[in-house]
Order: sequence, then C-alpha cells, then structure tokens
Amino acid sequence: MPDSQVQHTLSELCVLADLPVRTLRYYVQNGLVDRPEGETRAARYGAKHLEQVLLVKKWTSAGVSLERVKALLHGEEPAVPPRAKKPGSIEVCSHLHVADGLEMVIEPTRAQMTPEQVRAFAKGVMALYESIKANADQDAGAPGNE
Amino acid sequence: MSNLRQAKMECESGREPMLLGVKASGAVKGRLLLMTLEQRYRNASSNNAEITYTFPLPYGPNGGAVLMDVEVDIHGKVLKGEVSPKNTARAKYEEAISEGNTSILLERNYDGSFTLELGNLMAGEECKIMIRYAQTLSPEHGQIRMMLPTTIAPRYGNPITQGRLQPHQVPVTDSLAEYPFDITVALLDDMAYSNVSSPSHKTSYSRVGNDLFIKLAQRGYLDRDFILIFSNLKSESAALASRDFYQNGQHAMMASFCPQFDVTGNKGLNAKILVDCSSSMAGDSIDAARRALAGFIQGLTKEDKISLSKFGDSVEHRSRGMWSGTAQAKASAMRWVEGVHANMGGTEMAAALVSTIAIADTGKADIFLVTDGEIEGIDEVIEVAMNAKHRIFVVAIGSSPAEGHLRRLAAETGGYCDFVAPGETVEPAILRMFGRMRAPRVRNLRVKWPNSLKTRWEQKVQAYAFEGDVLHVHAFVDTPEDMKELTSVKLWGQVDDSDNDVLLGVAPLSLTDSSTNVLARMAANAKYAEMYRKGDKQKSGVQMSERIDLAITYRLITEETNFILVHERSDTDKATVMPDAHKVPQMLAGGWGGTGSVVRSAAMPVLRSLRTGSDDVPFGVPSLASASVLPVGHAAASVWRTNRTKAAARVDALSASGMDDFDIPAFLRKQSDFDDLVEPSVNTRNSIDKSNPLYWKASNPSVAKQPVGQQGASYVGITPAGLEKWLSVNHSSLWPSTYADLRDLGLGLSICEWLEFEIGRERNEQLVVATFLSAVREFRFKSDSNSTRPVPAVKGAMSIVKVEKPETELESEIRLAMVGVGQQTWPVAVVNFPEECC
Repeated sequence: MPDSQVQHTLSELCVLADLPVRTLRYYVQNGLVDRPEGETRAARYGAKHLEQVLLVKKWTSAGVSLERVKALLHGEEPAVPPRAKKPGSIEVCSHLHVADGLEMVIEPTRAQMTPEQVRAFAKGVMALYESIKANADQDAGAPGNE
Repeated sequence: MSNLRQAKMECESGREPMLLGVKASGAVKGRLLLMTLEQRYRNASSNNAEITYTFPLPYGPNGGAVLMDVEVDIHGKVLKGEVSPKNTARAKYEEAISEGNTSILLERNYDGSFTLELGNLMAGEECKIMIRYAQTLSPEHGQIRMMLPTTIAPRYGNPITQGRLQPHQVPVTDSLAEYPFDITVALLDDMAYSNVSSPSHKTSYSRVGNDLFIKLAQRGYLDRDFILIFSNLKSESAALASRDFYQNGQHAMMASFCPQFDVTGNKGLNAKILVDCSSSMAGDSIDAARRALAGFIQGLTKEDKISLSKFGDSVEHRSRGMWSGTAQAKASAMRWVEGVHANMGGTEMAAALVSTIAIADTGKADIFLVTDGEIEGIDEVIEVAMNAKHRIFVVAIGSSPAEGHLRRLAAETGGYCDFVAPGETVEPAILRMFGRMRAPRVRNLRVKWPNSLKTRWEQKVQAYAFEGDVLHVHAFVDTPEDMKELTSVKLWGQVDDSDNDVLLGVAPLSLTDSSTNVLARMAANAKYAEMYRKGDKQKSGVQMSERIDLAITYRLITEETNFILVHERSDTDKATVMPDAHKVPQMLAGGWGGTGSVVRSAAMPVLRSLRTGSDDVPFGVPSLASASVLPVGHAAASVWRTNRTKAAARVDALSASGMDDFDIPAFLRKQSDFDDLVEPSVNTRNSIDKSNPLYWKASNPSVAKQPVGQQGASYVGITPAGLEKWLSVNHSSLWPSTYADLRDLGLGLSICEWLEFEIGRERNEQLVVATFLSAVREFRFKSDSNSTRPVPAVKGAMSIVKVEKPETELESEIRLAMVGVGQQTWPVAVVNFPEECC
C-alpha cells in the first residue's frame, strides 16, 4: 500500500528492491537516492525512496551510467555540460594537429561536413595559423618596437 | 573519453587523497614468491569516512596470487581479522558501521580484482593495511616473468551489466591522482644467482650474504605493472611435498612440470591476425602492437597462412581469405601494418572475433591477437572463441594490460598469453609464440604420482600444454610413511593425432616445510577453484557449504568468502553518523591512450592523420615546418607523403560532388571519339567523371556486408576504362610515376600492390609504373563495347607505343597479366593479389 507513513529500515528496503545493501548505501551516499530520515540504526526509508531505488535499478540495468541517472532523477545540471548525445553512444574523432599545443578535434558527422569541406576547413585553419604567426613575427621584428 | 562508461565521483581531485601510497616487499625462494603489500590510508577530511579502494593482484588460478593474510594497523595496534562467508562478513561490516565502529572488509570481485572497504576512519585518523599473498612463478621457455599490477586501466564497456561489478567496486580513474609506490624484492638461495632485470622500472641490486636485494632506483607510482624478468633458468620439472598443518595425517603436494618431448613439428601456421585499434591503444601500446605484428610477419614461411584484421567499433579485414607467406604477401602485410593506428574507437572484441573466425580457413586455425585487453565483457568473448574451436594466442601489451581477462581467454581456448611491457623488446615474445603455435598439440594430460602415495584429492590437469611452459598440479595425499620412498611424479600425454602415451616430464620430489602452511593453502585454493567451477553449474547447497568450509579452514579469500575485521571503538570514540563515501580513484596507467609515453625515448607522433572518408589513404596535414599550401604540381616537401602532393592539387580541381569541369573548348566536347585527338595541355590537370560506372567502381555497402571469405572481387576504384581515359586527357608529364601516385589516382590497392610486390620486385619503380601505364594506354576501349579498336596514334604526348620495338620482359609480363581485362574489370588474378597470384 502506498502509505507514506510506512517506513523501512535499510535491510527491509534491500529486500523490497532486491538489491545488495552495499549497493543501496552507495546510491544514498552518491545522491542517487535521497538520504533517509534519521541516522545509522534509526534510519528510515519511505515510499519515495523505494521509488527512486527502483528507477535507478531499472536504468543501470539498461546500461545507463550512474552519472546520467543522477542527472535524470534530480533534473539537475550535471557537472559536465549536457551534450546532444545518447547515453552509450560512441564517437570517433579526428585530431588535426595544427602546431605544438594547438589541436582541433573534429567529428565530421556531428559537424555535418563532407570530407571535402573538412579538407577545406583544415587548409583554412592552417593558413590562418600561418598568417597569425607571420604577423606576430613581423610585429616582433619591426624596428622601434619596445 | 568515449570509452569511459562508468560513474565518476565528483570533486575527488582537489581534495587530499585518502590513499597515501603502497609499499611492497617480497621474497623469492625456489619458484615461490611471498609478497606483502602495505597500503597506507589517512582520512584528510573533517568527517568520518568510508574509503573504498579497488585494486588488482596477479591473476589466478594457476600462477596467480593466493591471499594468505590481512593485517590492520590502526592506532599502532596490529589487528587480525578472519575469513567468513560473504553474507556473514557483509552483515558484520554493516552492523559495525551503523554502530559507529571501524570495520575493514576485503572482497574478491567477479573479475579477479579486490575491493577493500575501510568504514569509519575518523577525521585525521591513519590506518595501514598489510595484504600478504603467495604466488608460484612459472618459467616459460627458460624465463620467469614476475609481475605486480598496481592500477586498473579504464575499460571499454559497462562495468555493471557486462563486468558484473557492484557500483562500489567499479574502479574510477583520475588523471590527476598520484600515489607513491615502492618495492623491495629479496632473492634467496639459488634464485639469488639468476639473471634478473626489470623492463618496467629502474632498479638497483645489492648483495647481502647469499641473498640478492632488488630495490627501485627511481621514484615509483601506482601507474604501471612492476615487472621482474628472471632469465637463463634451467627448464626442469620439480615437485614439492609439505605437511598440512590444518589437517592431521595429510600432506600437500605441488608438481611443476616443464614438458619436453621428442616429436618435432614445424607445421605450417594457420594464423588469423587480429589487432586492437581502439583508442585505449593510442601511444605506447599501438607502437608495440606494430612491432609485434612486424615481427610476426617477418617470421612467416611459405608454408604458413595468415589473414589480417583490425578492430575497434567494427572490424576491418585486409584479406577475404588466407594468404600464403610468400615474399609478396609479406610485403603487402607489412604495408598493412604501417596503417595500423589506434583510431577505430571502442573495443568490440566479441564481434570482431566472430567476424575473424568466419574468414575461410582449412579447418584448424589459430587467432593471433594483439591487444591490451581493456574490456568488461570478456565472458562473451571466451564463449565465442571456444565454440569456434580456434585457439587464441594473445600478445598482451601496455603498461597495465588486463592480465586476468587475457590469460583466461588464452587458457580456455587452448592458446597462450604472453606479455610485452613498454620498453621491452617484442621479438622474444614473438619467437616464443611461433614456437607454441607451430608445436604439436599435446592433449590427454595425466599425472602419475609415486605408487606409495595415496591421493585424497588431485587437481584436474589443464587440457593443453606447450613445450617449455611450466604447468602446476596440486594434490592432497595421505602422509607417506616412508619419505625416502618418494621418487618422482610423472606427466604423460598424447601428441597430435597419435594415441601413444608419451612421457612429457619427470618431477623429482623433495620435502619442504613452512610455518605459514603455504603449500597446503595453495593446494586448498586450487581445490576450491575446481569445486567452484563445477558447482557453478550445479548449484547444490551441500557442495557450496563444503566449499565454503574448505575456504574458511584454510583462510582463503575466494568468490564466496571475505576477510572481515571489526574494531570496537570506545563509546566516546564512536561515530554518530554514517560515514561519507570516498572512492580511491586509480592513477591513469602510464602511456594509456596516448597520455605520455612510458619510455622516455619514444616520442609522441607529431603528424596525426585526418581521415577524410572518401578513400583509404589518410590525409597528412603538414606541421609548421613545411611550406603551407602548395601550388599544383609542386615538388613535395619532405614532411608530406608523396601521394598527397597530387591530392592537394586535386582538392583544387575536384568539386564537392565529384563532377569535374573539363577545360576543353566546347566544340571539342561533342563525342568521346574525338577525345583522343585532343592534345592535353601541360598545365591543365583534368579528371574523369567518377559518377560514371564505366570509369569508376564505387564502394557497394551491400557487398561489404557479405560474410568474409566469399569469392567475388569487391574492387573499388578506377576501372581500366577509367584509367585509360584519364591517361588520354592528361599530359604525360602529369602521369603518376610512383606506386603511391597510382594509389592516389584511385587505382585499387590490390592492383598497386601487385605492381609493387610482384612485377616490381627488383625492378625500378618508375620504369614499372611507366610500362604499366603504357600497357593501359594500349587497351583502347571503345566506349560502348568491351573490345579494343585501333586508333590513330596521338601525336607528341604519348611516347610509349612504337609497334616495331621488341617487347621487354617487363612489358610482356604486364601484358600477359592484363589478358582478360574488361572495360570495368581488371583481371581476376590481379584483383585478388596476393591470394591467387603467387
């Protein structure tokens, strides 16, 4: 019965959720499930907690990472800015090495660029870098500079 | 990183670490290693903490670590715990924590790693945990590789659904984490006089009396395996017997055999090469992989057959069938090795294996796998391999490869796993692998104990053996009445298809004693492991309690038993709230995923390739040192690959869709018949229409999906008619002059390699290319039929065909090979190079 008065101990919650106690405690420690009322032996969990636990269990067994589950549960901004990617998706990126310490990461599918466009882009970036460097050299070499 | 699919703890970095470092001290006597790891913890936060740390140990069962003892030093007091069934131990731990006491739980995880939980370490408190294990060292071809892993590298896959770990056990990696590591190893007795070296760390050696001490000569961290190599050891079999202190009237035995037999077989290999090109291999590992592959290919003979495949998210096969080890095939294979990079994404090993197994072979094939093994779902992979009856021989590379996974994969398929650390030369491992792969297969292994011994239990001998690789067999026996009667233990087996029993090894018995009952406990560990594997399938309650009783009697931490220690605190000292969670993050394995290099001299590659997706050839982007955009036809700067100079020109010439503008006056564009009469301009580079199937065969996705091994050329690239057309509309000075140029023009890889390795053997490259092109120019296809027709000679530009000149050997070789060429199809034998040509 969904009675909010019914309170469970940690061990009872384990049985209800069919999860090891350590895993349950892990969820609570890491903010996936709200903290109980009371502490240590006196801790009690209600229907809300059970609901959260079952959701976490469902998502993790579907392969969703715990980080993502946390964000989904609490609607909070994850530390990493959200990207338009599906959980579990794989990306292969190319690295364009422009110079020592200067690199561009390109995922052409997401950028929606054809190979020819990527080549043109690469050439453009290289040319831009050359011109900036050339100007810098010029400025440095010009007489009368401090 | 895209292959880290696990929960990350927030804000661990920036806080002080909970693990201060690990000190290891070990002693080697005979073939036995006893090692103690001292882990130091400090709660640097202001609340009581629950620290979890998942760490690796050398992999079991035969040759892995057997945990002997755990001791806890807290407040200067040394406490010992006990081994209990998992549920009991867990309940004790949880109860202790909720009562505010301190508790330590050590658990063996599903994948062979261990998780330590230290609950209620108070603010500012320190704690030392000593973990002692024993390990038998197994010589392989006269060499022992002693290895202590110190970190768990990130793995591809889901640790919970595939790795079967619980969330608190899942290792997380922090690239900023840094934990000091120190180790001392004492070599006793005759081991003190063996050749020893470390490929992983700078070490110093000092002799104290008869013993040799090995220490680190550099600062160490928990970021790579610690490896000691003992070499020049005698290949001998030996057996040990020792009284069992936990069971009256019982002795424990361990027989170590180094199989030797007279039957030599240098059979041809049937090896399917499969290399891991996932991003975790970037840096040191992929370099080592290329060296391993090159070494393997160079060692092939004409009797050997190989196939070449690489995988990441998907698998790519270089050949549809197996190539014989001819010079041409080897050259082609070496070319393929150069193109092996860690750029294929994730590590879908099971799918790659399925596809590689499907490559057509003559029946008995082995897989030669080069990988770092960093995946979660190894069970699936093992199942696939075992069903296919392919043996898997693994060369495991990297500074922290997944030892347990890879050893299991090899052992359960009848193969072998060898390791190459960064900085180690790869050739010895390759030679050993060749030896094993070519060796006769040994089966039906049986151990014959001395007649006077009554065995109570003996370990089931492993199914396969290789000459020169030591295997161990444990047993429990009735205490023998007369020790002098014990002579030797024998190993018998059958070789290849013969049913004759062959004596493979004779192990002389000697007695030994140990105050810590090491030998008996190791035997009990082997017995437990056997019972567990059997019981897993039957799940009988009686058997389980028998197993657990065994584990508890011999104090073994197993799949079903944990170490538990509870430290009662005084009432004023107890914790009043549940502890905060702190998971100790792993250090990033040195050289993993290209993050720095383990060997100082190995420089990071400066030039990275940009894959364009339109063809096979990577686009090398110049670094600052070279000239910027090159004008058409300009000589290539050294940092550019020659095949890409022309490509740069084509970038300007080609439009996005592949349709090309012909720089020819309109009145000449009317009919193709007249194209031949146009004199191409020296300054204009023209292209052919790639959307025309007469000139260009595009890749067909449905063909690519066909199972590997099917006949039927899946040629992609410029057709004979297309090439002929190109030659006719371009001035001869613009013609390709190297094999790379031809490739760049779109000539299929197999045709180019046929030219380079078959025709071009010991011949001048430019002459071969020029002769080939002139032969192509001779095709003279009519645009609407497959036959050739004579055409008035084009003046000037083509300097090749003068009908009266006698044919050179080169010309006739090419012409003969081109018999049967069609407008859209190259001759079958050439397209299938090097499979059918040699």
